[in-house]
Amino acid sequence: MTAKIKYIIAGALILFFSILGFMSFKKTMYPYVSIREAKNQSQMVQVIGKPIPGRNGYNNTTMNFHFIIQDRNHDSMEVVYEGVKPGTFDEAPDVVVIGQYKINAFYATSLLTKCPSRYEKKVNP
Amino acid sequence: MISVVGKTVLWTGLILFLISFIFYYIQYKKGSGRGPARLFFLLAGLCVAGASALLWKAILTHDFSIAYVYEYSSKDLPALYLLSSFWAGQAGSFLLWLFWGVLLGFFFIRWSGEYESQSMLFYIPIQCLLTLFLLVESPFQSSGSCPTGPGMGLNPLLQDPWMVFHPPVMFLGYAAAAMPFCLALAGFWRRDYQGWIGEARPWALFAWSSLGAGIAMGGYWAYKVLGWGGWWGWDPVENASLLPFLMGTALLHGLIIQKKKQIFSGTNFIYAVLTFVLVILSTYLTRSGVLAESSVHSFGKTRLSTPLFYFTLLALAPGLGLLFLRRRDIKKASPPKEQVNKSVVFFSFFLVLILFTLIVLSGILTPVYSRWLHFYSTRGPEWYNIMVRPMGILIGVMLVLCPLFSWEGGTIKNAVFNFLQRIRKKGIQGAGGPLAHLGAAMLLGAVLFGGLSPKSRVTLIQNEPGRWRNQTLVFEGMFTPSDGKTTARIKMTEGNNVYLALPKLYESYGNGRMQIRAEPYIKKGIFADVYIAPLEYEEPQPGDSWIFELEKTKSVSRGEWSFTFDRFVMGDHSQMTGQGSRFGAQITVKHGLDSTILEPALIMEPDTLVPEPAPILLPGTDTLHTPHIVIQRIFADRKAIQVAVHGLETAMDEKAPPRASLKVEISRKPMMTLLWFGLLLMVLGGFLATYRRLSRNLSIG
Repeated sequence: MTAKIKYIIAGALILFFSILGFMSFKKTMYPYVSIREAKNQSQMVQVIGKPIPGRNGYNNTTMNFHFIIQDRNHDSMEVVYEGVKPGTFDEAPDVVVIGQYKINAFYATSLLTKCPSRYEKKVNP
Repeated sequence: MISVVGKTVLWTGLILFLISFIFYYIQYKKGSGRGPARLFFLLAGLCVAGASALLWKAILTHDFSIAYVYEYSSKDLPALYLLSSFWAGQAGSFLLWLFWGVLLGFFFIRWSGEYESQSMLFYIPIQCLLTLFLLVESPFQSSGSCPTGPGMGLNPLLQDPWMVFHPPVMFLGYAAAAMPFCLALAGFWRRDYQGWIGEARPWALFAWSSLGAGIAMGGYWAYKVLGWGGWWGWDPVENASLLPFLMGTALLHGLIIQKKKQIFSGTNFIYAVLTFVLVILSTYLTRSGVLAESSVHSFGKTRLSTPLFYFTLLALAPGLGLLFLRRRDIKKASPPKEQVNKSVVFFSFFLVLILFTLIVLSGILTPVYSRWLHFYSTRGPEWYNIMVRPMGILIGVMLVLCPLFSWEGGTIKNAVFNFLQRIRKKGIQGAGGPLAHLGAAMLLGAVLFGGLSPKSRVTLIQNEPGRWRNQTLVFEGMFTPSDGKTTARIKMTEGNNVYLALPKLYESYGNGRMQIRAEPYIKKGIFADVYIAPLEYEEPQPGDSWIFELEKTKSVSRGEWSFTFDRFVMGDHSQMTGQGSRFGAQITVKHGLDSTILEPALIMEPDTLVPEPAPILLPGTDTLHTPHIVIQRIFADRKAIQVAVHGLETAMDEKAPPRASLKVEISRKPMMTLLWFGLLLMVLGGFLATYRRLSRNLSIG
């Protein structure tokens, strides 16, 4: 009796999480694209770029954090982040933003700053 | 000098480990040799201790001839952080890991009984590999030419008391995870499928508690200090440390059940192997650069990247091998018909844990496999939130139901009674398990019912009240206490409750440069925390400047102000100071119904024109912050002047002289106290259970 129960439970759990997983798989995955590609599409993507020094700050009305990044192809775009400027932002050689491009700026839901050669602890989801 | 000595000591340690290994092998084959084996392990351990002491010495004496000391510490670093710079970098952290490994190893040798020699045959190679890593990426690498300067300093983000505790506890867990691993391998090798679990239980509990404590500290550190408002970001490296914790949870539950009912022997072997393999895998993922682009925690690629990958495979190999070789025995060993209510609950629990591990692993590896498949992508935190939430609920349900089930079946009333009886019998030591489960329930409750945290970013003008939800905030100013961390004073009023919020925004030296650091202020509450993160501080502005041209007899207006340039006024400044000529301009200034006549001028000094500003005094202007008008240029041919008016905006606003402003993000974090308390209970419960299991083991055997 109980062996059957185990199969039923196992089956149900695996089925449930597989379905949930399939449904969520695509929409939680963000492809890495260049700035040019990001500007040409409206889905959520991930972009790496170097923030241009001095060109960042909080918008006094919306209080969003604005900055401009430039990627390897020398394209640049403005990023609007509804969050806190990370402490390591000014020194970061690169930042990673996840979000989507709308009209004339990239609206980021996630902002990661990097200091690759050190064991860091700083996350901004 | 130290550099050479340090490297030599580590080499010696490696050789001593190998000799110990040989003696343990002889012990295994021929039954003697344990004495020398232990001796050489002890000597190797002393070498590791010696190397650690050398590194300490170099750090504490600021010996910059060692590159590691230069890169991770500085002369002005406070003593506490100086200590923690030992493990701030990759090489030092491996030395810490190795140190724990040999320290725990001494106890392991003493307590493993008949499993000693075979377990050590697996344990020593692990220490050897760590030592090898330390020889490739050495903490004793010399700096070449002796660098001048105060040292690069510890990254300011790491200059926090938590840096003293979090990594050592984490590595303690990593080191301890090796014990159940070795015992499981030894047990299966000897075809002894039940015996190894007795020895393994306290180690499994200890490793689990340490890993849990390390992860909890990391979360608390992030929340309290780092200012982005969260404690868990589903960052790939955080997730990587979660993996061995999950498998460790399965392991320690499985061992308890196997002790009682002799089932799950095969899966316990797998959990024991996986817990350690996942420790190595997570080290690899963190330090190889594989995830460098999607995680802010990770190192870039280092010399150890590839070796760590092979270490993972190497750790997996004996487990897979033994699983295959002993597969028939495992089938025989599990009594097929052991079937009662409670085992079904555990079966589901283990399944959920395995699914949890797989889901987190698949999330972590997304950048890796997607790169191979040419659609290089990353996995967002939403994935984990969506997938893990139902698991949390399931685990919560099981947590509540499980004590109510019994192994035999029976009524619920019976079960509750039996449960309470057990607690009474076992006393305070027995409280470990229940405490840990209570903590887990609180953690799950806090996470699942916590819900969203509303937040806003506002600019607070000095001395001007701002409102957020039911709170009133008044930014009073900045001050710098004796520790140098400039702090903002914000008076918070919530109904009848008044308190001071003191978030910090200051400059700190580290990584070879000055960085701006922010620390939030958290007002803890029973049901929610109020979290204030400082964003930006602006000094009082000197006042706006409006620059424009005035042509003779013409007017220029702005708002209620109008300026009319009437005529030039030439004069001889020598009346005043005996110096050169005076070029003045008569200007009529009107504000609403008031008007006044001013004469700003430019004084001709021997080699320069000095402007003489004229204050614009009208009824109602704040005399402390009077606007001024200054002539900047004279265009005699056009009969025009260029003027600048300073402070007009602020003069127009009768209330406000220029004031400082502070931008903050304020948010309400529900259920945080419950969450931290729950984590604390989980870890305490785990250590308590470890102690109980250990003392039972030692008093019996």
